[in-house]
Amino acid sequence: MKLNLLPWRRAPLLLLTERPQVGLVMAGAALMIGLASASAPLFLSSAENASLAQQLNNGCETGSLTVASTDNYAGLTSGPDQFADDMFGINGTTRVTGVPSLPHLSAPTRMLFAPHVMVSAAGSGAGTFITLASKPGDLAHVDVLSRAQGVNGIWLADTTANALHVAAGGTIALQETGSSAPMKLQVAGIFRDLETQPAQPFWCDAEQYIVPPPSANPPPVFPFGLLTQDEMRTAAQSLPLNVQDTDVWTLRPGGLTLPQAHTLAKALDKVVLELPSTLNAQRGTLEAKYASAHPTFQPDDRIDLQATERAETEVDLPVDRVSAVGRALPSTITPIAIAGVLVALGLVFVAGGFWVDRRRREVDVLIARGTSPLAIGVKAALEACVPFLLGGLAGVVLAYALVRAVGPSSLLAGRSFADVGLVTLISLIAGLIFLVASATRGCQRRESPPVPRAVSKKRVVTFVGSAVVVAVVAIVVAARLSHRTHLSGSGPQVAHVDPVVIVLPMLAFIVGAAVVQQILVRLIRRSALRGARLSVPSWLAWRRIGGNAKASATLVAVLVPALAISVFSAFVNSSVQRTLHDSSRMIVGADDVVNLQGSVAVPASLTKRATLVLRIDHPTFGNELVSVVGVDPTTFGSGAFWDAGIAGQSFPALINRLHDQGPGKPLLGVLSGGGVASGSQLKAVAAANPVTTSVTLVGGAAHLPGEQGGYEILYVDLAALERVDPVGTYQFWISGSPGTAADALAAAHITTTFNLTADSVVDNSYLQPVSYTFAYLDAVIAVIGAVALGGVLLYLDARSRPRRLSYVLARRMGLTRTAHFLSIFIELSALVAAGAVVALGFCAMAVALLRSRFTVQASLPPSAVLSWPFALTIADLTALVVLVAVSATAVQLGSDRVRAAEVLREAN
Amino acid sequence: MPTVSAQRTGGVWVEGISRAYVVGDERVPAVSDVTAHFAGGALTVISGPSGSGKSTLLRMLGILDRPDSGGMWLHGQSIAALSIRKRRSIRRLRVGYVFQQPAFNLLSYARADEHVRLGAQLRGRAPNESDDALLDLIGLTSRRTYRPAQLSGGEQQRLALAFAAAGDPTVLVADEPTASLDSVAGATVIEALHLLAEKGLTVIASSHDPALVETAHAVVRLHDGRRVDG
Repeated sequence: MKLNLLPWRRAPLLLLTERPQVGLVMAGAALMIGLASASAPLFLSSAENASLAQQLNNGCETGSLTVASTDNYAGLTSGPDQFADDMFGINGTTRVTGVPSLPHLSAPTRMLFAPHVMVSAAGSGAGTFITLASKPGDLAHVDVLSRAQGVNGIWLADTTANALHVAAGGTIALQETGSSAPMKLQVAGIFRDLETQPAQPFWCDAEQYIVPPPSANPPPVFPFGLLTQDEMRTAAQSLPLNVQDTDVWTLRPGGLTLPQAHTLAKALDKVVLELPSTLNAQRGTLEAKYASAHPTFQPDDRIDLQATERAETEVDLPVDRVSAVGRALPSTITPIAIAGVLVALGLVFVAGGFWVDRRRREVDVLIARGTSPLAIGVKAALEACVPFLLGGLAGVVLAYALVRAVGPSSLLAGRSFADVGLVTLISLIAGLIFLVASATRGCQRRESPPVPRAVSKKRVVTFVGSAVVVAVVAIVVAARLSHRTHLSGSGPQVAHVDPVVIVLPMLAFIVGAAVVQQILVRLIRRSALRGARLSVPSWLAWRRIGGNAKASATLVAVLVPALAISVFSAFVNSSVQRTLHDSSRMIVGADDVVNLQGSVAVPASLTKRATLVLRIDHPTFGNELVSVVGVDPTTFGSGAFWDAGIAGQSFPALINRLHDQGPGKPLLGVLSGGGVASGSQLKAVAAANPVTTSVTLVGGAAHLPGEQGGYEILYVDLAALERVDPVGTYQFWISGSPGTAADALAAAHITTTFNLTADSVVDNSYLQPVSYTFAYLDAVIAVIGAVALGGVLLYLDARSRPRRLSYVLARRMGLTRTAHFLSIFIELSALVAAGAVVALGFCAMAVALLRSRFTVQASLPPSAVLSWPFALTIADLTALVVLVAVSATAVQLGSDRVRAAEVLREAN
Repeated sequence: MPTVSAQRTGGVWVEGISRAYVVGDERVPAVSDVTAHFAGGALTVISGPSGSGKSTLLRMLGILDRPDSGGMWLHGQSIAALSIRKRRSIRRLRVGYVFQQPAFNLLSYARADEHVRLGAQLRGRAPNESDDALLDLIGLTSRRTYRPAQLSGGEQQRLALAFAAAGDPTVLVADEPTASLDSVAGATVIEALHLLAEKGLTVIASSHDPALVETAHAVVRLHDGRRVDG
């Protein structure tokens, strides 16, 4: 092989000048390769960054650095002195200067809190508790109900103001519990109590003072009383109070990638580790200064003042969780991407044959000159280099643009580009090797056309051998993947789609398509001469199909994996999402659960899809912490989620066993899990003292809707539970769209304090990688559609010469244009229909074999819910019909433009 | 006619060769039991009506196809049963083949002189003055920088002959070289064939062009795949 000879030397530029359409096909195939290979690393990076942004913007889980110390005014034995002032000053200064300037970290915000301060209306003995708070900009983040113009003083929550019967402009008295004289302040305004408001990111760092943390015995929280920081210091010194002095650095997640977040988390960990020693050193210096200057210096003051230091960061948690998401995704995304590349390589293989066909004159000349098919195959690769490079680059750019445009996030980490370069380069080289192989094979066939019988045996042996190799690969892959659990990895755990569900069918479809191609070639050849009773268009179509059985069977073989992967992916997508959504509804209890401020009647517009419940989290039942839900048996089924497969019994029958037995009688209950014996005591927090009541279990199931946090859930009758009067949260459990439910609640003027939807559980939880996998599958389905289109176009082009000739001749024999158009339509329709039928059959088999794996967490009911993607199937079939119609029309128009003389001369 | 089995050393010998094609379930004989000698330094024409097996015999002589049975010798070397690799090697080094359509023999992107140089290079020989001499021989010196599309049909076919003859092969096989040409262009091609034969090549052409048949040194006539000229 002499690559310096003219045909090889000029090859890299030939496709640009000689046969542009061949170059376009090559570029198209390379575009598919580039798109499929580049999309995976870009998508993974995008998904990680989207997950990170979601985690960091998710309610109050904002990653931040918090450094707090308690300015212990109340701990001083002789009131604030200069040492205390200096100590508090050093604390504040060191907290700020000890934190380096880090990207994506805001400037510090200082917050002051003094919890558990007694407040009473001036001149009145009755009082209540509040938490004094001060944060710059706080008044802009409360719902102001009223204000007294020109009055400086305290801002009270409406709950406090109502309890004290004070209004804006009134006067209140602050007093530290059990000590000192009160301090009088004017009420500057009233705002809505934050506890009754939806969570706001601004108040995230103060969440512990607003909402009681979930625990068996949560500490009490009190409404805020807002002061300026100067007023707060004055009050703290005057009463005196212990003031939690906190500096907070908030994370700005915009533009933050996961690698950057890792770096930031490490830097913040270092700050958390080193800052206390820096503070100690500063205090030591101050102490030495005072000890030398003031012989009467009391060390007790120092100890009290520095004992409550704390520094913490919350960045680690979301970063670790996102890292877990990142670890879970490749097991499904990578096989999907590889399948996409394989399908694109199939297109390259077809393009290689296309090249040989289009360059047949030169190929014949070179073969006649004794050039080896391999050398000509290499020439094909050399010619394809430029289109391949351009097409591959276009694919990468397209992948980049698509990921940037449709997400999951437009943010991509720098390292993903290196991965893109490497993966795309490897894929393109593989593509060129495929091209060489395909073109070499095509040249071999031109050099010595196969003798049907002798070669078919060899081909069967080769084919069976290849199928065995692929089958072995499939078995090995299945064996390796089957060891994976649905939840994997150390640290935060996330769910992912079972890779077996993705990998095995794709391998099977590709191998199956090859088998179908071989079988079809034989079937078509055997029946090619039949069909004498067909109409003229059908007979022509059948003759064309039979005239080149191999091209016909190849088109079917190209369509089979494309359609099968498309429909099966959509099926997996649809089924797992449905299963996932039902699982989420099991966790939430319904499609939508809203917390209420008290017992509220279900508004008329929601009576058919909502039910009122009273939920108590973490009371003791027997020796277990459980969740208790008081339900109305007559309406519970209309709001709560239920699947008959959960417990193998009728939900209404189970719930209808609950009813109120009357005062003094045990509650009747239905318990999930069954970890507590019937007749055990239920002990719950009540307004005054804990209440205890006996519960008789009348039914149970392994799982029941509303189970959260691993606690068993106990259903009891709502009226019976209300009589016990425990502290709990009234909720509406609503089925159907949360959006319309919110509108209905707003229209009914019902105030809600918290909202949990099944969708949010999928989007913001450990189930996130699953939804990302589906998004990627959707994208791959679109790419595969393009491959199918390419297959049809290549088929049409490959048949253009004989079709033109036959058209010219048939027209002279009286064939009408309509009949010719119909013949093309029937020809394409038959092949596409055959591909669709086989593909749907493959899908059905794959579903039958793998249906039990269509769940992301086997322990979470319900089990796999099958959902056939009717919409996508119909859309696919419609697209194929349109494709066939448009292609047939284009071919007919092209045939009409043919010059008969040229065609006949060429055919001569 | 000499006894074939006794003299296989000069030119190309074929002895009892047959070739059949499979169409559907049928076996259609194209060439049946043909024995012939194609002398070196002479132009031999294979003649016969359409479907007589001319092209099939020619493809076998050009080592583009192999007989189902019978023997073939090229300057004394048996070539009927060689492996595909060795047949390819013989084709590269010793045989030039010219297809019927002039344009099908040429590379659209190469000039006339590049064709001749490439023909030699493909046979493993470095370009030299004889390449220019070959262009002179077939009367294309003034067209040396022209690409195929800039040449007439006759010029294209002559260039195809030069391309096939470059690098000193021993056999030149041409499939109906004048079929696509007018009489004037055909005459120039016939002249070129004779000139190449005079150089010592074994020139074999299929044709039913009387002008070519009449001027040939020998004629092999076929009918229904069999030799009919005795």
